[in-house]
Amino acid sequence: MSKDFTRFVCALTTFVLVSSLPTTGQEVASPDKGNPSETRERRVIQIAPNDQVPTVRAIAPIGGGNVFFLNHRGQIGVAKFSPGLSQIGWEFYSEVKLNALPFLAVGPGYSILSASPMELTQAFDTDQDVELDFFQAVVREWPTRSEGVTITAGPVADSHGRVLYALSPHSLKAGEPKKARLMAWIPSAGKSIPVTESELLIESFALRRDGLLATRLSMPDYADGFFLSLTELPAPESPSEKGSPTSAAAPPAPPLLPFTLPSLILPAELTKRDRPVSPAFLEEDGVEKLILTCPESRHLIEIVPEKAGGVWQGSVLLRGVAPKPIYALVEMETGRLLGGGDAGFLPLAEDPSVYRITSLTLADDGIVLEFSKPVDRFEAVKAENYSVKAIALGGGETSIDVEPVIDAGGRTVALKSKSVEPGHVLRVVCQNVPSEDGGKLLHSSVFRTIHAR
Amino acid sequence: MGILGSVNLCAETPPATPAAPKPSVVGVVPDSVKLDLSRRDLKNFLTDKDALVSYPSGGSGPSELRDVFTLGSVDTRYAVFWDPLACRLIGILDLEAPPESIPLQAPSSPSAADTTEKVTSGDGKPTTASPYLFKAEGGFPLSKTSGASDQAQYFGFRIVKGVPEFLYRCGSLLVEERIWLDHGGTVMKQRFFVKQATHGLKIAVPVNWAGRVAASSGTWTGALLTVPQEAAAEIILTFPLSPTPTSAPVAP
Repeated sequence: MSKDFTRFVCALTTFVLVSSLPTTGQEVASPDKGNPSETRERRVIQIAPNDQVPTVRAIAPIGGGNVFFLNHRGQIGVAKFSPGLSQIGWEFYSEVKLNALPFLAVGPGYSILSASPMELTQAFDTDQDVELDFFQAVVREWPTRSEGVTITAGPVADSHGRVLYALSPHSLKAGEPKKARLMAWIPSAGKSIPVTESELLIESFALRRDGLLATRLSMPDYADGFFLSLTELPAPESPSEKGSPTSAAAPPAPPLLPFTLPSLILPAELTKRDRPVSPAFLEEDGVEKLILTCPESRHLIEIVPEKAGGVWQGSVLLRGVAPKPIYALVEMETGRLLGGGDAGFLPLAEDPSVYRITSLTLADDGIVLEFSKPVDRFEAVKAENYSVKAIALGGGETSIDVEPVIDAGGRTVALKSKSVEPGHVLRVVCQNVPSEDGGKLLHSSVFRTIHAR
Repeated sequence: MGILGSVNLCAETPPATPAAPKPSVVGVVPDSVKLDLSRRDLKNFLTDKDALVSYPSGGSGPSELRDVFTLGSVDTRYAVFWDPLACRLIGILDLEAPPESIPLQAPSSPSAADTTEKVTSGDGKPTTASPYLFKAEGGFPLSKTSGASDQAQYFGFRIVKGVPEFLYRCGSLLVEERIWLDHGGTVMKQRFFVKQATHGLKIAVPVNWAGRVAASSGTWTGALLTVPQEAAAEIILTFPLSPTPTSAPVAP
């Protein structure tokens, strides 16, 4: 099927396709955006089938070790895993190739939701023969659609039965500044309502069970990093609240939409300038983390979100380097991370042999670094092996002198220093801090955005 | 989860051909082909002003046609395009024909092998050949039907025996439109199943297809098919894509 389809697509791209299909290294579809070929010969490129493993672009867990997934052609499949995340098997759930964004959500009535830039689509297996056969366009209309506003990310299901998707920046009234909006489609009402607004386009997002929204915002002109926003979404108003005597007498003013502001900067230095995608929340050792993947550099970025003074901030560090490019991430169950890419699915358990910085926190008298292995005390105690800078969010940077103190276990190093003021990104570089057994740090830098203390 | 109750996921290695093919149109119509269905963004190839009215930029036409359904098969040289925004068949492309921009060196006489559309200039001389056998023209094809409106609203699609069936509303009409390739991919069939067609149906095809489309019932007046009420529930149009003889329409 793969081979046949690719032959057909190669012929088709000669003429009309605008967007090339994302291809693997095996496929050499060369879409002609300009003038079609002048040859009469039908273009056919012979390739080897590559569907021995699924080419994963999005994963939606459905319990019991099962997931739905979306492949690079927009086909939906199903895969099953053992409790240890070993893949047991997979198969297509639909051979229809949707023009889908790299997201997939499980909807009501055992449905699967996907989105193209122009449509939120709900698919069903109505005759229960293990193949999707009915694709309903549940959202095709929104303000300013005719002016080029499109869906940029989603769908993501929330814990209230709603399905979230993002619209590109637009103005609802003439003269109003353009804002991207995260919309919630409410299946029971068959309508969508906005839940957050943002000045920047929303490239991808993830939602924690408690409503914490992590949003990757697009700022193409900024080359030094990538913006990530953390916003708490309020729970939707319940029907009983709507019907309260107060609301009957005088409808309360609608609550203000939370505005999505950039909370954290993911430095390009940590991602190797690769765009981080597919954010996924992960609870590990009682700590709630956010993981993003950089498919080209194979870097996995770890963020530990923290709320201080009513503002979200946190540390940003390199969690690992995946053996293969990872395009999709999901927490299968608490603490178990599954990735997916052109090489199929990949369990992404922490490698205990990797020596890395696992945390950067602030103390009253300085900075605290945690390491995955005991440090080489001889080197780690030297101040010159650390470079600490406070980079002002408004521009400018200050070097900070530190005095390292190693704790008894050797995994924690306190860098005694003056207090870092809010409004800065703290950058700590451990130039020469090997592990006790001589191992080199996975990445010498770690960052923390400080909005409040 | 109940939906996965019957999924066979025990194999250590997935099969090269992932799932056994469902009973498809092949089993019903011997010469029909297994369709490949995808949704893609296409360069706008439409030129007819009235056909472009459905699109946001009006008569000038958009640069792209978004999320268009593309039907094709490795077994056939034709690709068929159906647009959910306009809710209509918008094109049939011959993948083996030369591209649209190549001027003809000399007028060529029609031959059995020549399936490309000839566009003539004012003096009757062919100027360009189009690889598109079919391009949407005129208003919405059912717009002359009583109860129809000019703007149809797409609802979704379903797969019936391997064939896509597009669902949309047009005024008071509820339309199920099925498209498939038949006779080894040399014929395209278009089936309309219309609810609420209490005064019959009127279906328009592009003028250059007048006289070449066969209908399961009704009478043609040029490029307009009129179907009486008693036959209006289901109509099958047959578009010969190559000169291969066609047979009577058969529903998949």
